[in-house]
Parts: sequence; structure tokens; C-alpha cells
Amino acid sequence: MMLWLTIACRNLFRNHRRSLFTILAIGFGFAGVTLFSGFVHYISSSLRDMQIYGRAGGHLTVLKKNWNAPGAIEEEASFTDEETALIEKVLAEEPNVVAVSPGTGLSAILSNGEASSICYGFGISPSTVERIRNTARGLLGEFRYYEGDPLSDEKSYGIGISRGLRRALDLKLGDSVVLAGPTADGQFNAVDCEVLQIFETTGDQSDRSLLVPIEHVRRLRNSYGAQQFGVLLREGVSLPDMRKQLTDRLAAEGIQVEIFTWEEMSHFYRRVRDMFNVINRFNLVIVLVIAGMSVINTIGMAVMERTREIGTLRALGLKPRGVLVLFALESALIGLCGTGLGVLLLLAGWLGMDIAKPTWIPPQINVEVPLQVHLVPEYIVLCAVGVVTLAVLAALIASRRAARMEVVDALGHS
Amino acid sequence: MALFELRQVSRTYHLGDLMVRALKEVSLAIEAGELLAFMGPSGSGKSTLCHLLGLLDNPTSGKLLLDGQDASELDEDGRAELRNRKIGFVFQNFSLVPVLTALENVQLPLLFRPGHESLARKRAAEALEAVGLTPCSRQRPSQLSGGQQQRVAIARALVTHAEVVIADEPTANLDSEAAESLMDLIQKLNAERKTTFLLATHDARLLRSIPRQISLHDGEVVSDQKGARS
Repeated sequence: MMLWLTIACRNLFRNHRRSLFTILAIGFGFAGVTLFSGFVHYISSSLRDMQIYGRAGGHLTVLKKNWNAPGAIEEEASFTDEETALIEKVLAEEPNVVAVSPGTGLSAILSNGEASSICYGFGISPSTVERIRNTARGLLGEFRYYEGDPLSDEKSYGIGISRGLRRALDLKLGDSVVLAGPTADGQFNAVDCEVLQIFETTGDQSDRSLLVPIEHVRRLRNSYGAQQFGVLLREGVSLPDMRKQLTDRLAAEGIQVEIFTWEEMSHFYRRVRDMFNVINRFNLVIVLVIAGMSVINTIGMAVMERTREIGTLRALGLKPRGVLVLFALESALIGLCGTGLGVLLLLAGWLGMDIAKPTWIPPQINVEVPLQVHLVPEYIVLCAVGVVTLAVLAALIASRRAARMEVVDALGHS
Repeated sequence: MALFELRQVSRTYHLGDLMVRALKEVSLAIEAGELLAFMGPSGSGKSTLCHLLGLLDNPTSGKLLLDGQDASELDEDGRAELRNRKIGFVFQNFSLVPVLTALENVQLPLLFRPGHESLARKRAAEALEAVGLTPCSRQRPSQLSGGQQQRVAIARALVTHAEVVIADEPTANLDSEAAESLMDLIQKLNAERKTTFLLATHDARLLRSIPRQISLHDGEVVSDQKGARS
């Protein structure tokens, strides 16, 4: 085997310029694909963390069964006061649950005394949200979600508004506003609030959103109940298993629920992920085609130039499949060298970005954030295996005719 | 039993609409240990006969037996194995692998046999010693003279302890001195090892010392002289 490797290595140097350009094509293609994939991973993991930690949605969201049945009114989608207390008790007993964040949606009107705007509010538990956000690691752990002060359980009349609402009502931090909306029994109610923070909305949030401590929402709605519970789990827990376990446990308590994973809850995440996956596959196909054609060309030329040599080897007893192995080995070496170069270029790009720390403003938000590229070992290994496999396949395509050639024809080739 | 037996062997090539009969119903027997030359002008069928005897090609009709075995019954892998085990080749243009050293080139045929890797180096060194090229074992073909390259090719043919070596115009690219030296080597190996040598040539320098000479003309055997050594 060593001699075969020696032959393959020396043949690479025999046409060093041609081999070099093929290796460069593979290397730059590999680096391009893995860098872009690293960027996609950064986007995906950021959106995932934003859904789980940033919005305190947790890994699982517990909703009332048939919460979105056609014709269901808001009250039918809400848990009663007793159900809410029982769900909180059951979830608190589960060892894999780290935190539970109750939430309640609210269609309301916000007024500054002179003008008013319809808005979609969401009641949150400020202390739980803060706790969930604090468990986020990396970039999101340092991310500032708002301008102003944090919401608090104690100052439950302090609310956060989106930039869209701020523009619509010409509000600033510290302004007093009135929040009006329906109570649980269909009456109309209003509460005083103070603007404590202004936040950015992301893709699947309304531009006219507000965050309100859940105690204040309950005061407005005159109901203790909640519409949903965000459940933060320990890392590594199987979401499907946990979903089934919690559904069964709550059903045993007489509460019928539907539980969704963070991915199912975030339409924006899925849309972005699917879009990037399409772009990524498109890039991958282009790179694979270019790399594959380069290898076919290189090996094809080598086969043409060395047909007599193949004839000699066949005359000495090399079987047809041995010819394929010979060129496959040579091509695999080209693939490995290209992959090696690609990994070096990838590391250089990653290191360069780590040093330069470029920033960008992603679509749908107005905050400048660091532009990062993640190194994803499993993807790098997968790409490397893919490139080497492609190189071998390309070599088999290029050399199969030579392998099938009659020995005398190969010997007489000029 | 003859090493080779040809019964009414013909070989026809199709060049477009043109049909070329390179060999016409040739029958002959070659015993083990012979030193034999196929003679004749270009196009007489020498190389075609060498290709058939070397199992590099199949007859269009007739039978070719090697050690009593009908070669046409073998598939390509079987023929490759038989070539590797029994037959060595020396080509006109030496046909050494340019990226390998002399020693590595000589090892090649043994590396086509599973499990012979460890033996290959030792046997290749012995074969190179037998052709007097031990000092050149680390040199590549481009660093060797034509005569030396042809000796490496002979070492490569002998490394498997082949029963027969087929040499197609082995001296065509050699000067007189190298050709004579090569012929001496072939005679020595034939005498000492009883290796069968089949040479296709029209080099008169070689013919003087070859005991059996078969003349071909237009694909037919026109004479078969035994004891022709001068």
C-alpha cells in the first residue's frame, strides 16, 4: 500500500501546476462552503437562543388543548385560575425543568392622553424572564434587549413598548400611558402604566407590541389565569420525550394541553433556517460541481497521458479494478490536500473575523450586532468526507474507460 | 507438454471497413527453457504473436494453450493473474514508471499479488543484482541510460520468477554495446535459470546467438529453424 501511496504522491508532483490549481479550487470551495455554513450556524443558533432565552419562550411552550380551534375565543384558549396554579405546581416538581415563564396575550389600546393606538401586548413574569435570559451563553448573554430600565415584579405598572409604538404615540421613557382592554368576563377596563423600556421587535412580532408584567395584565383582565407557559429545560434533555411526559402528567391532573417545541413556536426561525438551507445547498452544489469537474479534468488528463503506463501495469498483472484504485487513490490525495487547504483557509477566515470583530445590522432588527462565523466540527468533517468521496467518484468516472481498455490498445496508445 | 501450444491461431483487426489479418492460422509449440526469436519485417505479425503469447490479446480463431490451459477460457482477471505469475515482459521503449526508482519499478509485479509486499523489496534487490544494477537501485528511469533501463525492465520481468519472458524489440533503442551486453545477459539467464525467452526482433546482432528462429511474413510462419545459433 505504501508504494501505491508513493506513486499517487509522486504523480501529484509530476504535474504540480495542474494538481495545484485543482487543490486550490477544492480548498477555496471547501472554505467558502464551511465559512458560509458557519455563518448560517451563527444565525440559526442566535435565533434559537433568541426564542428560548431572549424571549423567555423556553424549550417547550404549554398551551391549552384546541387553543387555536376555529372560532375559539380568547377565554377558551386561556387556562383558568385553578388550572394555572396546578400547572405551575406540576412543572415545578419536574426535575428537568429549570424555569417556568407564564404568559398571557392581550389585544389592547394604548393611549398617551392625546392619541391612541391598537397594540398587541404580552404579559410576562419579569423576574422569570430575567432569570431565563441570564442563563443564555455567548453573544446573547451579553445582548441588551432594550433601551431604558428592566421591567420588575414590584413595579408592575412599568411596561416596555416597541419602537413602532413609540413612533406612533410619540412616547419617551418615563411617559405615563393608559392601557385599555377587555376583562376576562368581556367588560372593558383600563390601567395606568409608565414606559420603562423601548425594545426592538423581530421578524414575527408585531411592530406595535408591548410587554407588561403579568400581574398588571391580570389586574386589567381581572383574572389570574395564563394562556401559556414557557418551560426552560436542562440542556440536552430530549424535547419529544419531555413533551410526551409533561402532556401525560398534566392529563393525569385533568388538564388537557398541547405542547410545542421552541422550533415549532418560532415561524421566523423556521423561515430563516429554510431560506439559508436553500442558499447553502445551492452553494454546495455549485462548489461540488466545480470541484468535481476540476478533479475529472485533472484525472482525465492524467489518464490520457499515462495510458501506456496503464498498459504496462496491466501487462505486468494489474487487474482492471487496480487501475481504478490507482487513480482513486491519487484523486483522494488531491481531495485531502484540497480539504487541508480549505481547513486552513477556514481557520484563517474565522481567526480574521475574531480579530476584526465586524458588526452588522441583521434584517428585521435595528441593532448592530457582531458578525460571527461558527466553527462546526461535524459540518467540517462531513464536508471533508464529502469532498474526498466526490474526488474518488470523479476519479472513477475519469479512469473507468482506461481500466476497461484492452491491454494492447493501452500499450499502443500515443 | 509444451509451455505454449498454438493451434491454427489467427488474429484479425478491423480498421473501419478494412479487415487486416495480422496472423493467419499459425501453429507452433514452444518448450520451456527455449531461447527463441520471432523474425520478420514490420507488419509480419511478430508483435501480434508476442501479444497473444503474453495473454495481452485474444486470438480471433484457433487455440492458444499455456501449460495445457486454454487461455481463451480465462476472464480478464484470470489472465492478469496468469500473466503476473508466469510471464515477464520487456518492451521496446522500456516502459518503466517514471516516478518510481529502479528498485520500486522492479517491485511492482509482486505488489499486484496480495501478501507479497514484504517479499517484494528483497526479491527486487536480488533481481537488480542479477542484472548488475544494484548501484542504480535508487535512481529513477530518467537518470539511467537506455541499456540500464532495459536491464531494469529485465529485472522486473524476472522478479516474479516468471517462466517466460517476452521481449518485443528489446534492443531497438539501444546502441551496439548495450544491445550486446543485453543479449549476453539474456543468454546467461536462459542458461542458468532455464527461463524461456521469446524475442521479437529483426536485429541481426541478436539473431547470431539465438538457437531457434521463427520467421514470419504477412502473418504466416515461413520458417522455423532450430539450432540456428552461430
